[in-house]
Amino acid sequence: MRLLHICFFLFVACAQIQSESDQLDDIDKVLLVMKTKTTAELVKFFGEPDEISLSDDNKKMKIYRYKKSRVDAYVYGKNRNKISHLTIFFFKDFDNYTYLKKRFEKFKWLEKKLPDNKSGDVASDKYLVEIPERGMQFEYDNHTPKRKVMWIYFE
Amino acid sequence: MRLLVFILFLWPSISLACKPNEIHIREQWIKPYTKTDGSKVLGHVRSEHCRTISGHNYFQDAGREIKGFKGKFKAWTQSEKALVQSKLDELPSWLKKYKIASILRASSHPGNTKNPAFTIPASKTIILFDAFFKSWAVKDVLLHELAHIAIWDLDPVQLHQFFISNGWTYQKGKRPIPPSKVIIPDSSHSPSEDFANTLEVYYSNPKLLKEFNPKSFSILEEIIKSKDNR
Repeated sequence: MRLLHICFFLFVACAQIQSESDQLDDIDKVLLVMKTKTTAELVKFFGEPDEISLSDDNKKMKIYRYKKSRVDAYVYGKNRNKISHLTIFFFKDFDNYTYLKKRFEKFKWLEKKLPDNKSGDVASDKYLVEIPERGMQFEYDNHTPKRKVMWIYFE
Repeated sequence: MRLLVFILFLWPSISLACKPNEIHIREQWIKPYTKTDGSKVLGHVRSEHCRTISGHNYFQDAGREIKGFKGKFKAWTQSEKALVQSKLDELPSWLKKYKIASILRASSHPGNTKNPAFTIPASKTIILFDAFFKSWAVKDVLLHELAHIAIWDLDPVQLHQFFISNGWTYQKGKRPIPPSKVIIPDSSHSPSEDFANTLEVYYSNPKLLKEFNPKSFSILEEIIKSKDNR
């Protein structure tokens, strides 16, 4: 009977841990990965990459690409365990700017107007956002629907 | 408390996918007002939502200010309207699903007189200039401008794969970095421009795109297939 109780306790504890991990979204996972910047942590949260390719800048880095979660982790060529930086292609189906602003409202938010392309064929009102405490950077455009953010950079 | 935690974790996964015939309206503060029947409405936050584009009377004449454009508008002629409508009808079926809220007419682009058209994706507005009506490729121009609207409705996984295939990267302190080789010179201006140009070439000169970047060609095929089936 005691063994049964221990088994039940372990099952509940594991289920609790599992559900907490499931509740993390990709940004939470990326922020946790970037605390240690190790590929071990990256694999722990995102699994094995779908593809590993070489970066264009003199092939100094390897890019661990995750298709479904749209994560690209730039790993040093010489030290394969260390991540230099990481990008996530955000592009969610709601007002991205409002969402990110609410989510990171506790942190210092640096916003800079980017120069418009005055001869282009598309209206643009772009801003560069930096959240230094989280090592984040991204661009958004007020003239796009839902102000969708393409890449969020993490370091 | 548990419900609150559940809602907090669920919130990021809620999506607000607007249909191609809808416009996304951002969350906004509605000031207190009095209805026509005399009842008072308190100030409140109206959540973001999708609004259907009503009707097909999208040809607008001069007379109103458009956010994002500083040129002067002029009235349409019947023949211009007929030409634009006939070319819109010839567009691929998946692109035709993207309803345009308004098409305006102006003499020229204030920053580049050679530009045949100008698009404001958020309001699904297209402005056509004199250069458009002198162009030999009016259908391609309309396709290109609609691509600037459609891009924001694409599947993120497919779009991300497209940009990887085309060679875009994003680095600290920099704008999105274009690939060293692009299919049309102004593609390097922005990822959206590159997408619109690549889609234009996909339809106007598929052989060229297949040779230039076979992977991007097949990703575009996948994108179109998934949109056609939606």
